[in-house]
Amino acid sequence: MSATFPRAVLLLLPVLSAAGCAGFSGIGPGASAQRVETLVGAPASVWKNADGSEVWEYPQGPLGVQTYMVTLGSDRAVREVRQVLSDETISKLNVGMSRGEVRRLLGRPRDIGFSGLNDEEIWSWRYREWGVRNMELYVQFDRPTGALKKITRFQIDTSDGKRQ
Amino acid sequence: MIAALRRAAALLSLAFLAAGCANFSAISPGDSAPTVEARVGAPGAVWKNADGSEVWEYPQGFYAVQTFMVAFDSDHVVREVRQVLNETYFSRIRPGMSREDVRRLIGKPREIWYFPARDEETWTWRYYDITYRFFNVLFDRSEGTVRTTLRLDEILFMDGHGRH
Repeated sequence: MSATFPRAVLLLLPVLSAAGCAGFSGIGPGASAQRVETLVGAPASVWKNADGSEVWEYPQGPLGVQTYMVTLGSDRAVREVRQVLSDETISKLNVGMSRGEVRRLLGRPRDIGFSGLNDEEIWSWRYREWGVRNMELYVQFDRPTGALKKITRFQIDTSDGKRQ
Repeated sequence: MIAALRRAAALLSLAFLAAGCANFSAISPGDSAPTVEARVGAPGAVWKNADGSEVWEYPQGFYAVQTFMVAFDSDHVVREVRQVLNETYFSRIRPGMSREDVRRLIGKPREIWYFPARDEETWTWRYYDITYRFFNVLFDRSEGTVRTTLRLDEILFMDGHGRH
């Protein structure tokens, strides 16, 4: 019996961690701001719009492949919940965009890098395409102007060069 | 119109690539250093070994997918010519190797990016293996040693949206 109990706890762990992700699916339109905080905690960032609405940003860990954006209306009720690290959002990126515009679309980057060669700043994200393919996204900004220069998406090859 | 120009540029670069290959394939073991210079020009870099042997490095440009290494014996005749941007050489890279170890093995990278938050320096080479791909070596920037390698397949946007 005593041996069974820890095993049951171990079995529960993946369920509990899955429930952590599922917290966002538990937020429906119309839910209150307090309800959101209860379910998924405080956002990492809050973006306020001119019309009184807000977007709450939730990157899923420093190396996460998901970022949730919860939009609240001026009445502080949820309008929508979106997981933004997807091809759909990435296709909205355009050359010339500012860092701020990109940040609001995709949330905090996983990492920020620099190129000495071209005076560029590179924002990178990892995400999962169709929930399966491990992808890496690089968004390159021209540092002097702060404008988006180039968008590249890569599939990560995990075969360590043994791909056929 | 732009598509046609791109296609023409692609064809031209293929022609140059083929010309590049032809030059290097004209070098044979036993050739002298002046013969090599006459056929393929001056190297981008020269690596001298303690025993008097040398390796001449010939990167083929930013968009190229080949880098040639011409190895000379201590008596200054060609021992071998190798195209190093492929798995045979990538697979020899091990964690802990220095920047120079990597450079001597596969030549000058097309780009170097650094990521301060992870104290990481990323060297990138473009190569061809079924498709155009990118090989990355990730260094601990302070230690100057290899952490790991990463192979990426560029995924192009189907509609050309957001591309440079």
